[in-house]
Amino acid sequence: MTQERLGLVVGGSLTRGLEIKLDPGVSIENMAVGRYIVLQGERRRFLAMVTDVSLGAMDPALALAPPEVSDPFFAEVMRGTATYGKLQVMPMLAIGGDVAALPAGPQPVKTVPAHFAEAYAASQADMELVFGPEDERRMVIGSPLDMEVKVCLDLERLAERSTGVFGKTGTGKTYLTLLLLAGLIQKGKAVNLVFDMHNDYGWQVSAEHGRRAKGLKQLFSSQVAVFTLDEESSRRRGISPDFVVELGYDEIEPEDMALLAEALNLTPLAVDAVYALARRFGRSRWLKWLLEEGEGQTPETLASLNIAEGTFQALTRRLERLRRLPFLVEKAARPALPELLQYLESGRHVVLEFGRYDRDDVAHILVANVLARRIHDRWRARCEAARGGGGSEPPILVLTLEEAHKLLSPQVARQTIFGTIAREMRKFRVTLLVVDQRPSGIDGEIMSQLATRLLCLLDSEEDIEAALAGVPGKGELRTVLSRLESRQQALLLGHALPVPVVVRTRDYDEEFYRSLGPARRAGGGPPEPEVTIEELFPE
Amino acid sequence: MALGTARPSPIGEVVAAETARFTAECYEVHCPPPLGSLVRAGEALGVVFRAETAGLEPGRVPIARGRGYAREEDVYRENPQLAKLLRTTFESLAVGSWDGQGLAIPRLPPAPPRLHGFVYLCPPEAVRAFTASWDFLDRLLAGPLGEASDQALAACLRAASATHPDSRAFLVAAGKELAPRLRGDLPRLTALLRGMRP
Ligand SMILES: Nc1ncnc2c1ncn2[C@@H]1O[C@H](COP(=O)(O)OP(=O)(O)OP(=O)(O)O)[C@@H](O)[C@H]1O
Ligand SMILES: [Mg+2]
Repeated sequence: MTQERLGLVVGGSLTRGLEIKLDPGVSIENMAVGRYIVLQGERRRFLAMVTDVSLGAMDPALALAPPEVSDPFFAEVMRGTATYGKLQVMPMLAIGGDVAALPAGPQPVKTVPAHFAEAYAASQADMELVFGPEDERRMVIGSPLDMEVKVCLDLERLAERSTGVFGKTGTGKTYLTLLLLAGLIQKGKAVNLVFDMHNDYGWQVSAEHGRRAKGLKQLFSSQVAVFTLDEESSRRRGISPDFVVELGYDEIEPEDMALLAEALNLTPLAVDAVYALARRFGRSRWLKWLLEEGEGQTPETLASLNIAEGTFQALTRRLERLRRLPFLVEKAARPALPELLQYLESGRHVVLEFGRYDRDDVAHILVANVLARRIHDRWRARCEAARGGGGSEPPILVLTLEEAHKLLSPQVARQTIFGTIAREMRKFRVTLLVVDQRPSGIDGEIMSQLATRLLCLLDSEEDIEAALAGVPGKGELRTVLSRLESRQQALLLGHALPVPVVVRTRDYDEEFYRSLGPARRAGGGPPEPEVTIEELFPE
Repeated sequence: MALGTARPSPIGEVVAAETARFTAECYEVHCPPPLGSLVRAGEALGVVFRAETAGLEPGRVPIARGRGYAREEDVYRENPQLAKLLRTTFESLAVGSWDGQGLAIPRLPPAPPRLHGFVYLCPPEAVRAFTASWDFLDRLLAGPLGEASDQALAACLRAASATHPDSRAFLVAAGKELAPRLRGDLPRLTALLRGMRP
C-alpha cells in the first residue's frame, strides 16, 4: 500500500503535540486542521490530528526581501523549500506496527515517534481500523475531511451515557440528531422520547429552499408515535397525532414551580408559598385549589398558611398564565403518562410535539419535567425491581431535549429531573441527548456528564470553552472547533468514539432513508427495524 | 542510457585535461557547444561552462580590422587568413563518467580524458537520463567560476528541460533541489532561478 508522504517529524512533545515539516511537493493548502495523519514510528503507527498549520522560512532574509514571488515559477520553487509548511499535530492513538497485523487494536498514546518519523495521510484502512466497520452497534455518521472513508459512531456506547449536540443556529444540529435517533431506532440501541420543541422530528423537518426531510414517523411508521400538545398545529402540518397530551392540575407538583420561578417571574417567597399550599391541600390538589378558589381568600386563611397577602396575590396573578395554556386542564380526560409509558415500555419511540408552544418556556419546562419525572420514576422502579430479582431491566431510554439550556441552566439544573438523570448516569438506564445552541448556558456539572459530544461550529469563546470543558487536548481542539465550516461539519468526541474526529456529517437524505430500509434485509443483514425492536424489547 | 551508440561526429579535441575539468579545441572557429551543454570526452562527462576564441600564437594579439566595412562578415571575407589564425576552445567541468557500456554515473572518471581525445555533444536521450538524478548539481555549484558556472548550470538545466516530457515541472523540481543547497545565499539562488526560469 503506497500512501502519500507528507513530511517528517522534526520536534514536539506528547503534551504539546508534534511538529511536522512538510515535504516540498506537498501543498500546505490541502492541510486542514482536524484532518488525520499517520506517523510511522519504528515499531508502531500513530494516528494524529492536525491542530495547526503554519509557515516557516529557512532564511530569515526571505521575509525581509521576498523574491520575485509574483513570478509563478519563483513562487512554486520557493514553496516547500526555502519556505516550507509546518503542521502541529496531536498524537491520539497508537495503532501497532502494521495496519494489517493488529491483534491488540488501537492503544492510547503514551509516547511519541522518534525524530524524522515519516508522516502520511491516513489511509482508508487506518481509519476503518480505528472507527470500526458499520455493524449492528455502529452507524456511519460521516466522513473525515477530504476523505472517502466512513467514520462510525458506536451507538451502544452513545446511548449508555448522556450526549450533547451543540452548534450555533443552522449548523445542522437537528439533522445530526435525526441521524442519531434514526440510528438508535434502527439498531435497537435505545427507546427514544423526543421533546420536540420546534416540531422537527415527528413527521417532517423543514429545510431551507423549501426542501423537506422525513421525520422519524415517516421513517419508522408504527414504531414511532407522535404525541402533541397542540392538535391543531399538528393537523395543520398534515400529521394525525397518535395522542393529544393534556396535563391535569393534579400532575403539577410544587417542585415544578421552583423550576418555573424564572419563567413565571416568581419570587422565592412565592415559591415557598406554593410549598405551603401543597402541604395544606396536597401535592396533587394545590394548583386546582389555587386556580379555582384562590381568589377571594380571606387574610385569615392566608395567615394560617403563613403566606403574606402580597405574595399570595402576586402568585395567583402569575399563575394565571398557566390557565391560558390549553393543554393544562383541571383533570386530563386521558392521562398522558400511562399512554406514554405503554409506548416506551413496549420499545416504541415517542416524539412529543410542542406545536404552537415552540417558544413558550413555561410549556417546555412544565411538560418536559412533569413527564420526564414520572417516566424516570417508572424506569427507576423497574431497574430496582430487576436488581432485586423481579422482572427484567427496561431498555435504555434516551430523552432528547432541544433547547436544553432551559431545562439545564445552572439556575435550575439542581432541581430538574434532567439534572438528576445526567448526574446519576446510566444507573437507571435513562440518558439524555441534549441539543442546544449555547453550551455555556448549561450547568457545568451537567456538561461534564455529557460523555459523547458532537460539536458543530460555535463562535463565542465561552461556548467553545464550555463545549470542550474537561476534554483532554482542549487547547488544540479549540482551534479545530473554531475552524469548522458553518454547516454539516462536526467535531465528534468522547465515549462513543475511539478518538476525536472532524467529519462532514453524512447527508440525511433519500439515500440514508434507503439505507435504513429493506435493502439491509435483502443482504442477509439484520431484519427490518420493526422486527428488530419487537424482538429486542418484547412487550 | 545510450551514450554515443550511434557514431556522431566529434565537435572538438581535448587540448588540456585535469581530474575535475577539461579544455577542448573546436574544429570550427566560433562554434563552441552552447553554454551548459553536456559533452563527453573519453570516459568523462562534462558540462560546458566557458568558451574562448583567441589568436593562435600567444605573441600575436588580434587587432581591429573592420574600419570602413559596412558589415561584420566583410571583415572575414576580406581577410580569409583570419580563420586560420584564430581558435576557439571551451572548458567543461567534469560532472560524471561514462562506464563504457553506455551508462552515465554521477562520479568523476578515475583519470582525466586523454589529450587529443575526441569530444562529442551528448544526444538528448543521454541528457535526459543524466539529468534524471540531481547529483551533478553539487559539482556545478562548486564550480570554479562562481557566477559564470552558475549561469552554465542554469543554461544546462534549461537545455536539459527540453529533453524531459514536462519541461516546466523539471525546472521547478530542479529549483526545489537548489533552494536548500543555497540556503543562506538568497541572492545567488535568485540569480540562478532567474537564469533558468522557463
Ligand atoms: N446532515 C445533513 N444532511 C442534509 N442537510 C443538512 C445536514 N445538516 C445540515 N443540513 C442543512 O442545514 C440546514 C440547517 O440544519 P439544522 O436545521 O439541523 O440546523 P440547526 O443547527 O438545528 O439550527 P437551529 O439551531 O436553528 O435549529 C438544514 O435545513 C439542511 O438544509
Ligand atoms: Mg434545529
